[in-house]
Amino acid sequence: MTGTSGNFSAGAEAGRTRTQVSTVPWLGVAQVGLALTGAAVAGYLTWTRLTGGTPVCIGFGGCDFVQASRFSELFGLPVALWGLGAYLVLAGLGIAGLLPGLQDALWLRTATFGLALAGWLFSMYLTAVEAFVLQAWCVWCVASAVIISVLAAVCGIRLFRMPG
Amino acid sequence: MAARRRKSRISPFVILVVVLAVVGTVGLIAFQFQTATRPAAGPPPPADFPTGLTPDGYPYKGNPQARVVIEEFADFQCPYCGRYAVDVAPKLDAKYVRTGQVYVVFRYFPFIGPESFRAAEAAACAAEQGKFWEYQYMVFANQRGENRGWFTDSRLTDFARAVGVDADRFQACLTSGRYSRFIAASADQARQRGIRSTPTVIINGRVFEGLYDFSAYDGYIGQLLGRG
Repeated sequence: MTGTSGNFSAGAEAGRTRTQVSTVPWLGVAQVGLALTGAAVAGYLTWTRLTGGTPVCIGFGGCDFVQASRFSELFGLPVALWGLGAYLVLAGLGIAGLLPGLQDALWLRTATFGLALAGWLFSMYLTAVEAFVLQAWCVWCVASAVIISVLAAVCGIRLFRMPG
Repeated sequence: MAARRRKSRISPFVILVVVLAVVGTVGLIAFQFQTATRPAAGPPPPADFPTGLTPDGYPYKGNPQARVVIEEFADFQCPYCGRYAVDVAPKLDAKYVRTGQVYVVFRYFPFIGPESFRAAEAAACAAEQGKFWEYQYMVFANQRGENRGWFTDSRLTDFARAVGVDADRFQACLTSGRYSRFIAASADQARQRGIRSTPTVIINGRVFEGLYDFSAYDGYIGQLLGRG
């Protein structure tokens, strides 16, 4: 019984090892993709903010108002620029996590999840500000909020649940 | 085995990082919210310099004999006008208007929507009672979105009351609509002069279209005063 169990366990472990080597770590790839998409959105908002332009508003008309508000700055820099930095770091950590030696590194997944969680919390705060304080919506900010939400979930799953 | 592996992921290190992320972000949010709301919630700065109306009815502040003249075209719903009024103008007031070196004239240019126009009429009613500059600060500092029903007559009256305007006279003025044609004419003149967006600030003929940092206006005014 014990032997059978041991063999089954060893078989599962071996299967798992083979699976990890031969399968694309989809969650890791998704993390990088989401982070780069978020970086593109934040980069666009940063660019319009720094050049004095108006973001193209699709569906909502409040982009200009949200971008001009005092809530769009943190320590004297545009919030979008901080977002861009955070997304690029998340993309970098995601790419590092795809490297053979770091695929299952707990410290890397923990750091990534910590940053994504912080970004998600700040993004939820900004969404609440749009809804209740400014009463104006910026579709790009909403898009970023959705991206960071999914990204934080992916990072959470990678840390707490499964390999990949 | 799998359960043990999952369990082992929630180590003290992971918990520490998660707690740090949450506490750090909450602190950041508290700091940002406090910074963002502080100036807008405060009272308008005192207009302790000459103010009044030009012969053609536009609000002015400062010394009419000053060598530097600023014309400011603004819409009360324009967010960048709000930033100019709350962040930039008080610094210009402190450095140049209070010292008699700069004369500022405000031109109404409502174009974003009906609420812009109503707020401009309200500001003209406040100007009638000698409180234009306090009132415009109050309106700009309390903007909320564009064309969202925020600038109601009731709220515009609350702003007036907050800066010491006689609310009954103010309401009578607003209801009468007696500045309606004046505001419309002001907007038409702005268009005829080629003003395309707000805020537009003209300093001795040089046009600053859009919002700039205080240093941009400060540098140019300094040049003008330095050259004599």
